[in-house]
Amino acid sequence: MVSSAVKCGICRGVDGKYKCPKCGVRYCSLKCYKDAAKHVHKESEQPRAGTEANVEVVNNDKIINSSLAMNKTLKTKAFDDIYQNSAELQELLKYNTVKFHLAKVYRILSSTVNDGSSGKMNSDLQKELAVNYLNTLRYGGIHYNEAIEEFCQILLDKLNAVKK
Amino acid sequence: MNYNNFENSKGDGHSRLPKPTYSGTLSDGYDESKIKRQKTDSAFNAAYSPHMYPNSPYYEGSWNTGYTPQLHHVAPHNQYFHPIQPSTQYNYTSPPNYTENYIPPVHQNISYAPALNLQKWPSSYCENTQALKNDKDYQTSISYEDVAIPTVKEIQLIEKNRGKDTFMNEISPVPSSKDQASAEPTEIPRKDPELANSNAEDDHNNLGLEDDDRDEQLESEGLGKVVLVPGTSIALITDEDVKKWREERKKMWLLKISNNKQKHMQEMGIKEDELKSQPSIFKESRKEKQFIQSIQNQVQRGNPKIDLNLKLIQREFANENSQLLDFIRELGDVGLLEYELSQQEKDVLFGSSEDNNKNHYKPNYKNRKPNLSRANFTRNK
Repeated sequence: MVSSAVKCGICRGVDGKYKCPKCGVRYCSLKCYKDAAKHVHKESEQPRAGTEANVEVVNNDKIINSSLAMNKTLKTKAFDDIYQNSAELQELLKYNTVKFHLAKVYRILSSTVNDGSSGKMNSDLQKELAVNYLNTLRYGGIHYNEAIEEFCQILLDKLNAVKK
Repeated sequence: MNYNNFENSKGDGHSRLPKPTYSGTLSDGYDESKIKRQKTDSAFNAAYSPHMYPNSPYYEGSWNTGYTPQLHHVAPHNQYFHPIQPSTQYNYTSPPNYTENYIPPVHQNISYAPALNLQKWPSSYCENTQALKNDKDYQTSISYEDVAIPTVKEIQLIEKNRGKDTFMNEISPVPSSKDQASAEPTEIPRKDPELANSNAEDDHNNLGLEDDDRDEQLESEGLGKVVLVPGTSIALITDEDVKKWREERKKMWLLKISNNKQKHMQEMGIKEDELKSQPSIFKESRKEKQFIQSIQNQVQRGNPKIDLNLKLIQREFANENSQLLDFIRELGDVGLLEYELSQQEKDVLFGSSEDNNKNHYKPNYKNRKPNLSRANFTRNK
């Protein structure tokens, strides 16, 4: 794994080769990881059961996302109103899978890669590529995803309502 | 011999005849010169007359036949020969026979012949040559000038035709009189330097135009070309950009190659944190390029079991998606799309991708959850 000068946070004698996914503490071996006395997760209690762990994870995500949502606002007023007023969209954006796919679309739109030898990609080409990629995620596409489909439908309904 | 004598006789006759016969053929000057020569001829005749007497019978026979048509001409000759005394003596010796009377003029003619020949022919040549010098020689010289000058003029005319047309009108190629002939050689060298100067000026003008054209070409080439660093979208336009790029390349090259990395870092004043914070440009550009290519491949790869209905639906989706892009862009700008996937979520994502791959064979047209996804949940549990 990654080699660095950081010592083990539990035994403090050997170099820490691993990292705890929950609390981020460096540890050297499975023995230290399983040490219940020293290895205590700061953000949450020790996991007792699978279901409880899942619930805690969900709670943490909600807290984090709600804080982000409160702080951030979109540029366009109409879009911001849609986002702030619709709890469904906010709920969907909490899931990382949704963010993952939408982030790809965003990356396509903001890329500055040269398209072959003809120079930079045209903005129209970027849009076309993004549109086609969204089609792959929606109904009838290769990478069909229910959450993305739901997100798109809700957003379209909101936009149409605003236009009317 | 006869021919020569005949000509001489004619010449003498013409010279001795009065003016009306001369007006149609010869000029006054010529007559005057001949009159002077007759005096010299008479002197010679007096000197040679006694020597010619023994030959008289031979010459009588030949001359009688020759001079029969000239009987009328002989009479006026007698008038001119009266001052000579020996001629009178011959007349007395032969009064009854006219043929005998003709002997003294024949002798006189015979005595005249060599003298006239010796004097007249060279004199005639001299006169002719002088006349040519006075009148004809100029014509011949002019003709030579005419022959010689056009060759030079033709070249000049060609040059003038190239440069200017006004000179053609000013100069006449053929001279009409001596004055023009004399004037032209003086005019030609005067105009030559002007032509040379004009030609030189033309050359300078042409050179300037060519230089201007080349400069324009270079400028256009410079403006048109925007050189990009290969593999990236970085454009080095200004000198400052070039310098920065060079310095950065030197540093990174040295760090990449050197075995004593830390030493060089200290010398150049670079810290590890800076290196980590600054990702390499080439890697980033390569990643983005690969990303775009992968997405293009996914888009181009269509569903093998697609129907016309699905195509129509997707076309409608495409129209709708164009409306959604702006919203998604703004979400990304604000930062709401940032994520850190947990291992569990990664499994879910990859599992969902597996389900999508399997959907190639069993498309889910009714929008139901696939059964295979449940298996994934069991695996996670």
